[in-house]
Amino acid sequence: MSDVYVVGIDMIKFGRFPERTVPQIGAEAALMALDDAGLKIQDMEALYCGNLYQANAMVGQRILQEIGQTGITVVNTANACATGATAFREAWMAVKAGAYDLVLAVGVEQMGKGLLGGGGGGSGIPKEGLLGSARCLRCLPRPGWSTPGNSVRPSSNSPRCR
Amino acid sequence: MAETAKKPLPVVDFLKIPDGGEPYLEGYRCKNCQATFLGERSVCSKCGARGALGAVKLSNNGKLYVYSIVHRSFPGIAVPYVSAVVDLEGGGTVKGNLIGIDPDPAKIRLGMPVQLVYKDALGRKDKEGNSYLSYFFQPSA
Repeated sequence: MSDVYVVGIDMIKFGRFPERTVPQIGAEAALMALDDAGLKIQDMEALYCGNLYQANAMVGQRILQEIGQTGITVVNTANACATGATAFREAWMAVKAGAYDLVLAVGVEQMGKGLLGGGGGGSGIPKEGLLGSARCLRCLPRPGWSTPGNSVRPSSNSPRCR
Repeated sequence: MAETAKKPLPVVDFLKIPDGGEPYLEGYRCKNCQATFLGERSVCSKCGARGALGAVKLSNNGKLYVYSIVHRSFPGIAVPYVSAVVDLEGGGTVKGNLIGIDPDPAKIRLGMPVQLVYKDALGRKDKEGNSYLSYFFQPSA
């Protein structure tokens, strides 16, 4: 197993950027991180890109289109609030496993306006404030099971959604 | 109006409204290990048995496992309300509103016995004007 080091990081200032695309925003952050490390995109052996709202739009490949299509492997992750962390984790694991020496992880999101989640959506009627709070109805009770007299709870690392 | 004469729809797929019978929550129980789940699933999450899950009527009685008093919610949602998770007798864990008790931590006790009651879904209707039947928890009589 290889030791893993984070050799460069950066982030752009938060904002809405309606005039810019998601890959453009991600590309800016990626370049800043490369500059921080003193490396070029040509040094990278793989790209791990986290983005949720355009999960089917190949954001990682489009970031490379902006900053250099070098033919490296691209992995796009979509994992709810852990989307960016998942991209980083996969990047870390690839280096840890010895598959690559230098990889790039980037997370980028362009949010809509308004509240996240549960005011409505889905079929039927809104469930917020009717079946308790938030949308965990489908995931909170279901990973848990109970047998008569022996209630068993999901462990803290069980999958849950927000 | 024709809509008012129509039978209300279940608010979730695991709430069953039999013709001429009392509504109930449906769970699935593993014939192999007796683990009980809310709603339908294909494989037992506890023992992994396949083809061993069968539908069961869940109990209307349970114990309060945990709760949260919600003071801020989405626009149009009445607050405060009590969001609760209840362990049903004989298995099955379900989340819903706890009603019939003040939203006051001094009055709500973890482990207190509660029962399921079935009522209209706070007057909420879908785009077609359908009414819904929902379930709530209240302190056991």
